[in-house]
Amino acid sequence: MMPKTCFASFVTATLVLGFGAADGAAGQAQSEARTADAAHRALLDRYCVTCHNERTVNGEGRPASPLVGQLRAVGLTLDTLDLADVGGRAAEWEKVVRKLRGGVMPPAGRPRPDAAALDGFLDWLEGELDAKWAATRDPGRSATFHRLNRTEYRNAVRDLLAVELDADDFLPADDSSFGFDNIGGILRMSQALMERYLAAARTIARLAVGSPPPAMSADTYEAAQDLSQHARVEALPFGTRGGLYIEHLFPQDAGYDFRIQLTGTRRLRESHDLEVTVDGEPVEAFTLGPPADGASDNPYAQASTIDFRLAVAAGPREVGVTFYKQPSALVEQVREPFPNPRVAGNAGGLAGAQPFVQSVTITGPHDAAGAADTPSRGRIFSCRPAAADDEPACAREILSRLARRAYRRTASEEELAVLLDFYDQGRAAGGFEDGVELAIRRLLVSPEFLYRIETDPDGAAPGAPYPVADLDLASRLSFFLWSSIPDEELLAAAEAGRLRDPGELERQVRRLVADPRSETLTTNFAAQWLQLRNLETTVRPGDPFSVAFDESLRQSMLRETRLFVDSIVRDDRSVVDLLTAGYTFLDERLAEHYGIPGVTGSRFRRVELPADSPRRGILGHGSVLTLTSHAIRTSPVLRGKWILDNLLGTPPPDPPPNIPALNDQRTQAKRPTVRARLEAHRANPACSACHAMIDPTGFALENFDAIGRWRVVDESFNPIDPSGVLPDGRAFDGVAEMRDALARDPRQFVTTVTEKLMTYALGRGLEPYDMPTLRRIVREAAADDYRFQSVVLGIVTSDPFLMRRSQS
Amino acid sequence: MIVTQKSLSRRTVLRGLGATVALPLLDAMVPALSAAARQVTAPVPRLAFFYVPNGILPRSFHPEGTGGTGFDLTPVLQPLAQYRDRMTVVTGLSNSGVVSPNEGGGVHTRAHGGWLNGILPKRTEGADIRAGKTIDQYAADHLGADTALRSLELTTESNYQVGNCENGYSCAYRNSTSWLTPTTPLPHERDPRVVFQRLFGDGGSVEARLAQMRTDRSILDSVGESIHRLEKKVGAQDRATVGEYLQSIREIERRIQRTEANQASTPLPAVDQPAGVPDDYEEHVGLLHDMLVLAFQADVTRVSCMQMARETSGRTYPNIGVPEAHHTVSHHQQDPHNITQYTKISQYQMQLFARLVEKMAAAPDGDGTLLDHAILLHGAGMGDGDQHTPYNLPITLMGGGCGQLAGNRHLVYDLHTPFMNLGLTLLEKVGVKVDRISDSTGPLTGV
Repeated sequence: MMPKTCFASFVTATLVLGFGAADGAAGQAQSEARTADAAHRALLDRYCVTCHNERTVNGEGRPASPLVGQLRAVGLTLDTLDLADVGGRAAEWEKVVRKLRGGVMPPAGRPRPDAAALDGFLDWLEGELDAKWAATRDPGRSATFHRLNRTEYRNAVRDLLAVELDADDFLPADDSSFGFDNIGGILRMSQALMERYLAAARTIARLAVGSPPPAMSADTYEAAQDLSQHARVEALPFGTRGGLYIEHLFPQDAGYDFRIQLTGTRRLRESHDLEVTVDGEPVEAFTLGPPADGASDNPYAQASTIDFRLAVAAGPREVGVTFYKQPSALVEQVREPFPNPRVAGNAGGLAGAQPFVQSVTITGPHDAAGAADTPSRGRIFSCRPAAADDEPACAREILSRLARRAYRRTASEEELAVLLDFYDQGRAAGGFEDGVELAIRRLLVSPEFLYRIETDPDGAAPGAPYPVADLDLASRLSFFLWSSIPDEELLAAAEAGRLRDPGELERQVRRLVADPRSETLTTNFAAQWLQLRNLETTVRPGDPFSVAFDESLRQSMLRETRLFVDSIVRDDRSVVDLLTAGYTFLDERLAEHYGIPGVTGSRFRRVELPADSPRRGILGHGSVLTLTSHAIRTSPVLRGKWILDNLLGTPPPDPPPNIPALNDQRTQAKRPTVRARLEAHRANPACSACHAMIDPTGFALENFDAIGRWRVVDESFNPIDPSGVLPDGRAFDGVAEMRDALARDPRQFVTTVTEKLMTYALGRGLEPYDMPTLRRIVREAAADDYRFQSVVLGIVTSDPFLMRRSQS
Repeated sequence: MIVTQKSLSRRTVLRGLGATVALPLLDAMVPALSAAARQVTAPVPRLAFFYVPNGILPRSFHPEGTGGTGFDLTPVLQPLAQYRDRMTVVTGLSNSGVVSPNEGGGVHTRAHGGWLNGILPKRTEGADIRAGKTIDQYAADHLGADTALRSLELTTESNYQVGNCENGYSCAYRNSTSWLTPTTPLPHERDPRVVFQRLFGDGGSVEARLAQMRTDRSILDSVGESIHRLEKKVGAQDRATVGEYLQSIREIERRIQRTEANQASTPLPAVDQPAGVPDDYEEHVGLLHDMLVLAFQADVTRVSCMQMARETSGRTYPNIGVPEAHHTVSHHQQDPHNITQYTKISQYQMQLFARLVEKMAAAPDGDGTLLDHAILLHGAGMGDGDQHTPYNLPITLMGGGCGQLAGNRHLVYDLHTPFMNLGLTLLEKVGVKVDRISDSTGPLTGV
């Protein structure tokens, strides 16, 4: 039945007829076109205009119902749009394409055209839109001033000066738009931010040059509250138990005070060996518990803190503090089926309590003796002046080289003079190195460093496309694939004008993707696209899931998805494998969580999955399933919306005001299933229009609980029914069938991935005029089995990436 | 290729004299500050805003009756009972300017983006974001003229999360409560250590910090010149970006001058700094409040705006028996359980706010306390979270405002009296004359 709120206003289509009587072939073509137009119009009138019409959308007064309100918000009046001028209203027609290609319109329960008619209409519509774009080839206009975001700034500093610091330490996270935090016009400047840049420049320049810090600092590293201390900690050696792995930047060749805080040392029955390593080399060892010979006096027998001073050479060092694993620790694991992360509740047993590392504090430097040799100094001091007379030339060499990397082009004499001026000031106040340090401090707040600046060439016609400068193109490439500045090879190719030579862009793309720095495609792009960031930071399952969820599991979940996405990128696999691949990466903890046998130990390894495995592809990943759940229950709505937003590219409208949420009341009494409650919710036509497309894919995932464990009954012991019908009418029963249904015609999924990747690559939202390019990239990638790198290449060789529109 | 995530440990950094810090921080710092306390000749007003998300259940907040002094405290106001004589509760105000009947979804964004400016935020994710200059920034034009910082923006939330912003709206509308201009949202800082460094500098001796500031100033001068050179190369459309950059530089330069000029009367305190963002929400809020008290007391700034949590917050509060998400229970549908949970959260956030009030009441300031001189506005962008409407906003004013606010009063206005009228009133009380903000019709009578 038709919702009452949609008026049955079958507006008679007014065909815009050609003028004059044409003759011969031209006339026949025109009349065929007219017939086609009439067919398209009839299709729209029959299936779309019932709701999307002028009277409903542009009606006066308060919306008669929430559905009308939603229609007004969408704003499409398909009865008044002229089919003879599709290109003239590309924005509206692209909305139509999106909804129809995504299979979410007409809404479930409403009549739909048959597949052939729909495809015919869409092919025609896209053809019109693509042809219209081809006449202008508008590449869009990226922001003139594009500030580096926090991730890019951190990576740029790493690549420029070999200084690695926690991003959180020096800059705030950035505002995002279109799902990404690298959108040009959104990255603003403010007093607060500029102050952070100044402070960061001060610290980074000092650490890079290796001059003494203004004050001692104490860095405390705490073991996460809920990280298992029974198993080996990631990055520490095999055969060890718990502890802390720390990457610490030692600013000077100096003494540093270490303080290790321990817990659980009171009632030790066995001795436990604690080892401290720096860069993998043992530097200190302590024995806790009863001494082996039973006689000598052990000051550390019950120690809860251990203090010592170590001489450490300046530079980034890996510090490990960990226990040798006891044979009895194996028993501990058996005794506690669920590893309690901390000492609480672990006070006794056959082997007595076990000691744990709680925190490590490093305080220093003491008796600093400069910084003789660090990676940063190696990177900076390409020359060393033998005498005072050599200093100016050496400073010039150092700074012109650094400025070239930092500004992503050879610095002008004027720009170099600015830096040398600061060098002179620092030299006058101190020595050669002080001069270089002050100049680096200035360099790091230069607008030429903090902003990617793309200006129109002189004499460019207004509003016309032009090829971006080769050096700007080099930056576009490196910021896309590395979230960082170009390396020398890329800069050199750009400066020599070789970047647009046949095959060169492809060569550079393959080279950049093969480089370890391209891990940002996983840690930055995919972490935002798939929303993994939320699992990194905010997602905290509540009861009854919190007992089974801890930091170790969180890390394992994130690691699985990172390794998986990375394998698609680097092995150049099909993008569709993200949905369907017959493998994943697991350690013991996660395999147990999934109920997959035969995976032992904390090492992640590739695990093959059978064809009907629910764990195939990202829809079976604990990470995705957890971050799309509420703290205390699953949410088919959140999961369904996540799929529509991120996999199918057809985000549903936000709910209208005053729509009730599901009743989340927690009682002991048996409750109806989430499905039953949602179905009640959907009985309201204002809700069903959207929820009929949101919920079904979420239902398919109901066999996974709120932290991604497989289940056959829900929290109230209702059996799970994972069946449903996709908006386009295809039925499925369970996640495997739903997943395969999504992958059967992967165009929509690949289009969505490409759209997200293109948004990220361009640092701007996609506009209607970008859609023809998007379609072309997907079409061409199809010929190469939708391989990830062919999609990347399609983007890199597209007009929006290579060109820019001048100011109009 | 292996993607590692090696650093599993949480790191905190302390810098400063002994590189140690004893909590509670405020207690440790107050003596140091008092020694350095500015010799106040006349008390100066302070103005601060505290935003809570998802509205507050009206009957848990608004006292019954027609106003006056004899009102009964509702559950959400209960935590402030001790400071009743400093409390003004306001009923009936609305922010009708942010209502958009034809825009569909996005109610949270509009309620928050327009909270302190009454302006309907422009629906866009692009560079053309636009809302309105907020009340606090009007105040800062005047109150910020003599202080090192114009204003201080705080939050408990990170911008790092993704996927939580409503369709078609940039996250900037959710991340920033305070807007310097209609096109410049101000970043809100969540790390107490960073706030401390903004207020008092980064470790080292006072002389060393001043020397750093002078170097910073010469760097800023030079950066300003670089930007001017760039400005010539770009077209009119891009000048706004350049202007924003220059404005931030000028603000910092001004700030350095102020700090140097005030050095004689307000020496930088020689104290240690907090260690970063605590895991615990309550501790986090407490530390940020401490920073605010310090900032007011040391007269580094007189204006502030803080998000107690971010709009549409899905934060859970298991520590007070609310494992459900705030946003979820705010859609209460009159369900008794949801209403209980929803009210508990509002009450809890008010309790945390009450601790700030207590700190302000204990902080000497000139001839009285900070609470005597400050006006603190606690409120939300929506009335009932279940309705998502910006009507009958839950507004609580605390403080004496230098004799401008009587306290112990419940003010009741006709429903849909513009909230911006209260904005004009508060600005008037801190000595700022603004004729109109969005739909305002004039200052309120009787405040």
